[in-house]
Amino acid sequence: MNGAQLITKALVAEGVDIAFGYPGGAILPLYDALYDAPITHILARHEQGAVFAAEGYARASGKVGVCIATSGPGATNLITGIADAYLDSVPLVCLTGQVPTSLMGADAFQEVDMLGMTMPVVKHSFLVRDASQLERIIHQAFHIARSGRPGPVLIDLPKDILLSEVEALLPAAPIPKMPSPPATLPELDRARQLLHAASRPVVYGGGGIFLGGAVDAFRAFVATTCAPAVLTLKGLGALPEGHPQLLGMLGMHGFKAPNLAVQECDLLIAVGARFDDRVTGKLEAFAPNAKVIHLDVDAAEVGKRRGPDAPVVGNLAHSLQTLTAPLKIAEWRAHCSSLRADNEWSYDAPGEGVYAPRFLNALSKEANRRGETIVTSDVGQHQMWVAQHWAHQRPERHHSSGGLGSMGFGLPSAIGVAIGNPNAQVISVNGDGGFQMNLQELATVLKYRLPIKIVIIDNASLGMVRQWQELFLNGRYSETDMSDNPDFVRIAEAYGIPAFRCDTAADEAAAIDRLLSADGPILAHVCIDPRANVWPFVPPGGANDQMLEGT
Amino acid sequence: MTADLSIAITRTEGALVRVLGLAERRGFPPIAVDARPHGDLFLISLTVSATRPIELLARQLSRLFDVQDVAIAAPALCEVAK
Repeated sequence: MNGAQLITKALVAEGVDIAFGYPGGAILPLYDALYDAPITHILARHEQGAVFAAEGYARASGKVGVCIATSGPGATNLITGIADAYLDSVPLVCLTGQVPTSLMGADAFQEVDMLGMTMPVVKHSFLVRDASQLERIIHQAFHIARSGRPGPVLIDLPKDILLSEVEALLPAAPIPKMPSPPATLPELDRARQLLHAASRPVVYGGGGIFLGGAVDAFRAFVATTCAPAVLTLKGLGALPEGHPQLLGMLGMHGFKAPNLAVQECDLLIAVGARFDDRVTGKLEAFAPNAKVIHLDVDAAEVGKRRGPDAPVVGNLAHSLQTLTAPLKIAEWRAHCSSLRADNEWSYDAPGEGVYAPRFLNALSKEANRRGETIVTSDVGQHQMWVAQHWAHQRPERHHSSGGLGSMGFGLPSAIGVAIGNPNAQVISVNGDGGFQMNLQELATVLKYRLPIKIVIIDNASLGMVRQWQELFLNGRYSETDMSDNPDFVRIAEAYGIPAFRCDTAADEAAAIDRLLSADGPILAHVCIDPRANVWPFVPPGGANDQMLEGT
Repeated sequence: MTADLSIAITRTEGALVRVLGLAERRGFPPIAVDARPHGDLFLISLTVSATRPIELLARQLSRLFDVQDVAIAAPALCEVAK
């Protein structure tokens, strides 16, 4: 057995049956071993497509995503995806080829210092210089990737290590996943005191709720305390759309009710959230009158942006269960309910063109009616419209590049989601800019006959950047015009994927039906007014109660 | 202001760079460093420039897989921010 074969043996022992990747010279021995291994390899058309797909697969399936690339450019093409997974805490194991150890450090062909280049964006990384350590390292990597706060782990594999004859010298096996340790009793006691002393509490839920397996505990906490709740982009779905206590997404593009409730609250209960700058706006003005309870599994998040009055570090589900108790906050609840009722979004829009918020809202409701639906979005205005207007049901049914904001994420992540969830309807919402960053993955969609419903919201520009230019740079539209976009329908058809165009309000319902009725992949090219903006909008550096609501 | 940390890390490839890089990236530039082998470990004395509570850096360092122990060697020179 050689090193590459030992790796596939260890991957199988970890339960890996799907891996995403792209072959090349230094990683050839591993691809040769995969030829006989009981692992289905999904061939992307660019390494970035492979790693985004692995992210989608991991998040939607609950497993560790595996991604493989060769040395040099293959490896560097992974870096955006690795950084994306790091910032959104997605468990990945990335295997990269490396030149033989005898050539390392000599600027060999396709040699880069992948260990060094990725240090800031991995949970951990290994450079294997001793083949006898391979099996142990693979199992260690999976353990690190999925334990505690998940994240990406890189294993750099010199070619001679892959080719060397090895035996599993030491017994090595998968390391069982252990629950994160509970928070301490004094921390929980302090939090309980604050909770029961508050008259205007707000629960602020983030991506850690899903990552910590705490969705049920979170829902029970909200149901019992009856506290109004707001969610971050990565927390969407922790409460289902229409939940009586859910005020909506907060932050830069949050709705009015959640942002105002947070500004007025006297206690902010942060659950698996990290006070991201897109959430808080001007930090000193965020929830200015509130004490803070911060529940998180990661001690390094506590006090990173805002010092809590009661840090609660440990297993989120346990912390929530321990703190769940009814609160006497009827007056505050009524106030928040009227805040929400007074600020309901209107989907009436003037003009005959497609109104993206209405289209996406109707698409999500009809898709949910037809069956389990998972949506991925790219990055930009359409991403915020999906966040705001999609009828979210569960966190693992919404995939978005949150921390890194990587354009090009929408289509390849949907590929991973579709492979990890063959029975779900998968809808990928993209902008015209981001779609063109990874449109080569249409070939992957076709190759594996993935029935993804692809939507391009086309405003013929880099809409979010254009919006900032309009509002803050006196309309100086520097390099955001894309009115020379290609014909996306013909592009899809060239890849063998049926496609159609939708550019009037009158066509919206028929377009939704056509998308959802298709048996295989299909693409809808939805053209909107390039002047459409995302509202509300808290100007950068502003406080969240100083939002712009339109022009 | 400066702060001193005593850190024990596993002697593996890249571990020292990880510690120094993290300190730099998180806004605590290293001023002085002394690292000595001790069995399977490196014992590091690290002095950093700190404009924020040193506990923040200590907690970030503790997350690193190679870091076995972090101790704040001198009293923190600024209070935990609220």
